[in-house]
This record gives sequence, C-alpha cells and structure tokens, in this order.
Amino acid sequence: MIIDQVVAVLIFVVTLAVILSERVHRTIIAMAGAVVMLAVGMLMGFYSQAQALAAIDFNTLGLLLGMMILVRLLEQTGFFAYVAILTGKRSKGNPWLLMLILGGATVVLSMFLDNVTTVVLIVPMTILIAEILGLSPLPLLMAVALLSNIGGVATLVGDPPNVLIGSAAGLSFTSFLTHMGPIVLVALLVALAILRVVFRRELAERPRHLAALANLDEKGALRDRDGMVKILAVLAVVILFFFLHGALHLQPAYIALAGAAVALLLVQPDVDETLRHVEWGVLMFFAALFVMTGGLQASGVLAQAASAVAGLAQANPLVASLALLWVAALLSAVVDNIPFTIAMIPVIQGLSAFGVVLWPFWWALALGAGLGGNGTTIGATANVITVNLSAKTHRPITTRIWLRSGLPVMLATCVAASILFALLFGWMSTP
Amino acid sequence: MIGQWMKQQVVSVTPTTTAAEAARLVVDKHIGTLPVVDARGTLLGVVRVQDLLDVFMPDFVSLLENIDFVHDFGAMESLEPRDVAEAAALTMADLMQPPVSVEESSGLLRALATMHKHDIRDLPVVDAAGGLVGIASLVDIAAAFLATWVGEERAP
Repeated sequence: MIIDQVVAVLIFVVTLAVILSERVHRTIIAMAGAVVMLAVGMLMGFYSQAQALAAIDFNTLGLLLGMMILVRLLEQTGFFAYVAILTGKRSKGNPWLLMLILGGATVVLSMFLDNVTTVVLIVPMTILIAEILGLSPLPLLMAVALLSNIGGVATLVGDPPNVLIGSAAGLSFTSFLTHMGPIVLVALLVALAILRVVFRRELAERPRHLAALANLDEKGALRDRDGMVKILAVLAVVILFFFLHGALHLQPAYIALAGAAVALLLVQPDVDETLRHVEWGVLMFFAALFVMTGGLQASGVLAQAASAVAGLAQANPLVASLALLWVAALLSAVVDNIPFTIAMIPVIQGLSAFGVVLWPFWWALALGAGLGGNGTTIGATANVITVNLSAKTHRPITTRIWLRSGLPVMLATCVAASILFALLFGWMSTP
Repeated sequence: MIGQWMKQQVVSVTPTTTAAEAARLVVDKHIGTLPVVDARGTLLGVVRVQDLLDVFMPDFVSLLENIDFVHDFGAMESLEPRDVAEAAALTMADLMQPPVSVEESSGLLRALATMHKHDIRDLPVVDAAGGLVGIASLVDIAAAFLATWVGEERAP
C-alpha cells in the first residue's frame, strides 16, 4: 500500500535528519526511530514484532562484538604502542618514510581490526613520535586517518559496511580480499601520492632530535608480553578461519566470537572491565537501524526502489553499479555510511527478482561507502576521532586542512576505483 | 579555624596579568599558586604553576596513558622562540581554573578535606563577600592540625 510506504519513508527520513543534525546521540535517536517504526507498522499492519526481530542481522552484530573484545584485550597489552615505536624507529626520522611506515602499519591493522580502535591507539603514538622529532604531526595524522579508511575496504572485517555487505550477500573473506585487495592497493598508492604533493613542505622538514626516537623504549611500552603473544596467536587463528569460512560453512560471527571466548579464557581479564570497552552504542545503533530498515522493507518501498532502478541495472550493469559507487561515495562523505549501507542492501537484494547479477553492485557499494568516507572530517568515525584528538593539541587538523588533503584523496581514489572497476568488470561480476 | 593559620600577605594577579609576568612572580617568589582577583579583591579563579607549565607540555603527555617508555623528550625539551612568544602572550583569564576556596571560619579538618578532594596544595581563604583574605598551604594547615595530635600547643 502506498500510504504504508510513505509513512515508513517519512519515519526513516526524519530519524536520519535528526542523526545528521547531531543534536541527539545517533544511538538514542535510532532506537527511538526503531520504536516508532515498529509501533506505526503494527498499527497500520505492515510490520510485526517477529519481522523486526528477523530484520536484525545477528551475524553482523556478533562479528563486530567478537572483534571488539579481541581488540580490547590486545589494546590492554600495549601492543599498539609497541608496533608504533618499532615501525617508527625504522624510518630513521625521515618524515616521508615515517608516513609510509606508520601508514603501512595502520593499513595492515585496519584490514583486520576495527578502524576506530586502530586510529584511537595509533594517533597519540604518531603525535608522540612527531613531537619528540620536532616534525609537524599533521601529514602523519592525515595519513593514518585516510589510510585506515582505505585499508578497511580490503577485507570482510575491515570496516562496518563490508561486514554488512558480506553478511547479507554471503561473500567470503577471500572473495573480499581478491576483489577489493587490488583496487585498495592502487587506491593506497594514489592516496600516498596526493599526500606527498599536498604536504611536500612538511615532508621536507628535517627532524631535530633523532636520538629521542632511538631512545623510545618499545619493550617498556609493552605492558603484558605474554598476553600479547596469546591474543596475537588467537587473532592469527581467527584470521586463518576467516580465509576458510566459506569452505567450512562457518559464519564470521561464530569465528570472531569463538576467538573472543578463547582469548578471554587464556587471558582471564576482569570481564566487566573488558566488556565496558565494547562499543555497545555502535552495536545498538546497528540493531536499531536494522529494525528501521526492516520496516522500510516490510512496507514494500525498497522493492519499489529496486524495480525503479532494475531497468538500468539490467540494461547497463556497469553504468548502474558505477552510479551506485558514486552515490554511495558522495553520501558517505557527508553522512554516516552505515544507515545508507543498511538501507541499500535490501534494494540490491530486490534486484535479483529482475534477473540482475548482484555481485558488481555489492562491490560497488563496498568501494563507494568505504572510500567516500575520506571526503570530509565527518565522513567516517576514524576521521571524527582523529580530528577530535588533534583538537586537543597545539596544531589541530582544521576543516580547511582536511578539504585540502582528504577531499582530493577521496575523489582521486574513487576515480581510480571506478576505472579499475570498469576494466575488471568481468571479475567484479563474480562472487 | 583556618583564619588563624593562613598567610595574610597574598601575592595575587588580575585576569589581565600575562603568563610572562606570572612566570616572573613564580621564579622570584617561589610560589605555586596565584589567586586571580578583580579590582575589588573578589576571588575569580586560581592559576597554579602546573597551569603555566601546561603551555609547554607536549601534546602526547595528555593523550597517552603511560609515558614511562619515553626516555627522551627530544625536540620538546628545547623551548622554541615561537612557542615561548605565544605562551607569554596568554593572560591569567586564559589559564585560570575555577577557584576552590573556604571561608575564614572553616575548621582545619574541613580545609584539609577540601584540599584532598580537589587535589590542591594551596587553599585560598575568602570572607563572606567572596573577597580574598589569605591563603594556606597544605603543610601550614596539616602542621597546625597535627600539632594537637602530638600534644604540642602552637601559637598561630
């Protein structure tokens, strides 16, 4: 019924608008929106409690929860400070090398761990290294934030949109790595080239105190060596199982939660303290958005949207998926990419009724939602955190600095990704 | 009562006093806390020596939980002329913290507990109208308080 669809869209749009206004915390307003969606849906008869419960993707929530617990346990050991010092020392104080090495470490960490945690832990260490060397921290901080977002696109667990897409489309860890990996690699090179040009003056600075870098004591930064070894071993097994999960028919959520259980058993930390550091607000936000999108879907509006674009998707899948990539990228630059991804998933699923091959659309959505986040200071949570941390320093990242460096990186990486996507379209049309 | 034990000669500053002038007071008189008062002597805030030093603190100190592994502060140890000029131009209004104070009639134990709770080592004392009348250090008050315990009568 058309009236159901109008009401459902209205509730969704109003909720999203309040999230964007940032007047109320996004988790609170999403929960309120979910409650209203279900209440109105039940009153009008297009949505039920059972449907709302079924709309929540527990595979996504479980995967995020498991990885959050593992990261928290790893964080406590001092691992991130250890890695930052160890890699920082390799640069011998050369700013460009420091950017490459710290950026490289960030990419690897953000491929397997939550970007937000990676950034929260690497940014203070980056500021430390820049300060004792007497270098400007700005290019390094921009590199950490931008590269963590790009690196996250490469894997199933790298960033939340990928977790959502992988779970909904049944895409494996390996297929994410083989499809997104090559494009991400090129995007990383493009991003580094742009940073090199934009920050050419800062990157030409000479470090004033090389000895201070050599005197950083990485072993002293490591608080719990045994714990670190144990959790890294668990993480290695978890990642190995991610590679095999398709063949073993194991859900990523099961692997991540099993890893968290084993790690908790091995380390036996104060559980309440560990769980306090899980980002429950993020998990609640996801759950609430699932319930809201479930309402949209139940009203039939997402199927309508799918049928509206099905013609183009059938006639020219390349143009249609590139359009999706750019819409996702531009929206992700200015708004949270999670609501958009969650709402787009049923639309793409709806296309299968029209005989459209869905794979290029999943990859396009992952690329757009992931790379688009670099466009503005609010495009991705990693950006918000980097800017907030740097605001407490003597040389904060201003919106101007971001638009001078982050925006060109976002546009250039999206262009590069689009070209590769078109060239590899045959490959992009496979799972 | 704390009024008997406080120092009545207080070195105070005004909101327009610069950080450089305040630094000069700290260096010359070796004082750790500067009460900030207006023209009528009303206590507006407090600048502690830590607040002056914060201007020179590297950013990583506040961002990292643990800094024991940083054995050498490197470039941060040398004061850059630009930083010094920037810091010197700051005024007490920029640096001051909201005042924690007690009135003259406050008991010694209450004064000590107030300092303990707010983690401060110097406590400004005000009259009923909020005017600054004195300042007492932790050791001043603690010594006065503990004197009764060890059975020694000390004159204020």
